[in-house]
Amino acid sequence: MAAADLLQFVLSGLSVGGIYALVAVGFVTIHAVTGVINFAQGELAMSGALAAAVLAAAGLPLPFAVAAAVVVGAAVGLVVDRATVWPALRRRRMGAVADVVLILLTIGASIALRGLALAIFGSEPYALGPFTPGAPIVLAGAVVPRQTLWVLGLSAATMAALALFFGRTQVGAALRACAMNRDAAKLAGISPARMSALAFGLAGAVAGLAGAAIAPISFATYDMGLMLGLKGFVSAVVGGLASPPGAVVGALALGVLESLAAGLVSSGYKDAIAFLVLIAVLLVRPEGFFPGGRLRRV
Amino acid sequence: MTMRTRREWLGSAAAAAALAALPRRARAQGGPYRIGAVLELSGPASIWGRPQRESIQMVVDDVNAKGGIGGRKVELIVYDNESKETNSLVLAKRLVEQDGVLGIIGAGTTPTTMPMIPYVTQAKVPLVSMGSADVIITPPAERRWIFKTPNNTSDVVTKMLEYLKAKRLTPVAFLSVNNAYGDSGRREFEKAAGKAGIEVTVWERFGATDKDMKPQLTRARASGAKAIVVWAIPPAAPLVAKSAAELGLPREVQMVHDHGAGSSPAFIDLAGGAAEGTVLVTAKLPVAEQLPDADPQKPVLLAYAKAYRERTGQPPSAIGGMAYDAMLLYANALETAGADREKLRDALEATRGLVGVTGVFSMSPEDHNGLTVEHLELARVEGGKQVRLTL
Repeated sequence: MAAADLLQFVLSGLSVGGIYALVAVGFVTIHAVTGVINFAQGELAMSGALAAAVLAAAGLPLPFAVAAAVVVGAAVGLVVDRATVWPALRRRRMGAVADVVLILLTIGASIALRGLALAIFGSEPYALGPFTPGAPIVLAGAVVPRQTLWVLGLSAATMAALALFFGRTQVGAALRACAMNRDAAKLAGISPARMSALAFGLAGAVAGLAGAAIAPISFATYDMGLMLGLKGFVSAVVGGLASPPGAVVGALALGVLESLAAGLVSSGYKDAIAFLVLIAVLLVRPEGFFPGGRLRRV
Repeated sequence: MTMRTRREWLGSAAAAAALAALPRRARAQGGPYRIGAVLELSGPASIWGRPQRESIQMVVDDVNAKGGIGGRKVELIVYDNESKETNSLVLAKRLVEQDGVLGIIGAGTTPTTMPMIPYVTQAKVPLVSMGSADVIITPPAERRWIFKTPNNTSDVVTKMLEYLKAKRLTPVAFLSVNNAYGDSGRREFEKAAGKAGIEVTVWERFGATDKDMKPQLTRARASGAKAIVVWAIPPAAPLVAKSAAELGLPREVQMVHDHGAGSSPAFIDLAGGAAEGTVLVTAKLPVAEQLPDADPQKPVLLAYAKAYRERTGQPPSAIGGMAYDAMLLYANALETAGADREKLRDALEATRGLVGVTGVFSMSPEDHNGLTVEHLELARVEGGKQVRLTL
């Protein structure tokens, strides 16, 4: 095995990890504020990917198609919030609705969104052109497609933007307050329901952007959200489910691990690796490797 | 089996009621020949089901426009199995017990066909499937009532090996999608490669939803293979092509894809420029215009392509052609069989030299597909088109 091949495995892993990272960040945003693990996160990315691919195919210039994907992702995120968490929060009388119920509701939402996408767009894959066309970049004998740089750049940018938003703005502080203690935040005049909608909208926008960035690499299909959601979830758990940077590191680690497994061991075991990692992390370090992020829930 | 089960009685009663309610469906001798179809009109495989329904209806309309078969029209009843295995069985039962069809077309895929096989065998109703796996019609002794229109996987492997041998492309690396489709290709390739003198360096798999196949391709390249054989359907197949192009592989090794990529326009469309130079095993339809005029299928292929385009406004695909042929087999068999399932089965098995879209069908008791490797083509992707390749 040549060194260039090994480097290729790592770079391929980073590019897949970047995709997982974009989804994982959304998981963390919603979980931190509402305590809900939004299993429709992959489907939010799917909405963005399909919206961008279909609109670009219809002749909309790429930057507008990507912007539309962000809007569609945010809108679908708000709908998921309105349909699941909002009514449940309203009905919650001091914890009468358990978090697990909310999680189940998001699983229902993910199945509904997948079915809806199948009905509207059919089962055929849609292609989207890369953000910047051109030959892949060669690094010491290994190649990196340009779109991969976009994916990695966007995950770094969203991670930084979210950190700034949560740390430096008043709305971000309100969101953190909700994360720390919902009832105390309510006493301080912060509406948990409104903050939940904000978190879902934000996570939806991030997911929409993620979908548009992923579509040139993997195509947009109605069922792409399932695997994205699962891998993004594993990444977020590895990262501790609390901080966007932790989720990104978890995602990149998972991507590299999968790629090395496929390249060095056997490609048949690649997906099994992800779930073995999840089980191992939950057994050994259930709090994840980066639990002490900014958005600690109490 | 002399006693009728309660369900069969209920089925007959329901059928009688349905007939009474629909007087236009003549039930007396001389009424239409009734054929049923179970297709994937919705769900994940609907990409197959819709062109198949159109194609079957094209044959039925043609036959009826010419006055039917021996003066009797053909009536088609189509049900949607929603791409689900269990629905296939339920709908096959409905076609037999309520609608009283003479024969069934379906289903469009291997998994949705398999559950119907024990039932139609027991009920003694002919079934013509568009599923590709060889297990649909083997072993012949247990598949008396089952026929299928796509080429056997072993034929596709034979065609591919002919190419690899002629170009002395050995050793090769074999990459397949990690599901039943990829595994059947891998099994047949494993059986036949050694005999053809083609050595395989690595056997790799990738997931149907994987985003990046570069690790597997890097392994394949490092193994010293001269060609990389890929067994997958879109969207995984074009993703392999994209990963290979990013690695610059098409300049070093020959990429070879199976008919799953060759028979669907989606492969070239989705791969964009990445498919250039790839060699495909393909059905005749995508290269119909380039076939020699002596090919007996050429006029049938061109007529089908033109009629399909006019009817639907969509480009024709080999997938639809397989369903077209299924109905063609029935229409041909009904000429001699008449309204009798046993005779219809015998007539299907006696099909000789029937020129269809997929091939020229010549069935026998041992071969319920009736096609050979002659009915497949090789093509190279050039300028976003399949260019026919002769060895």
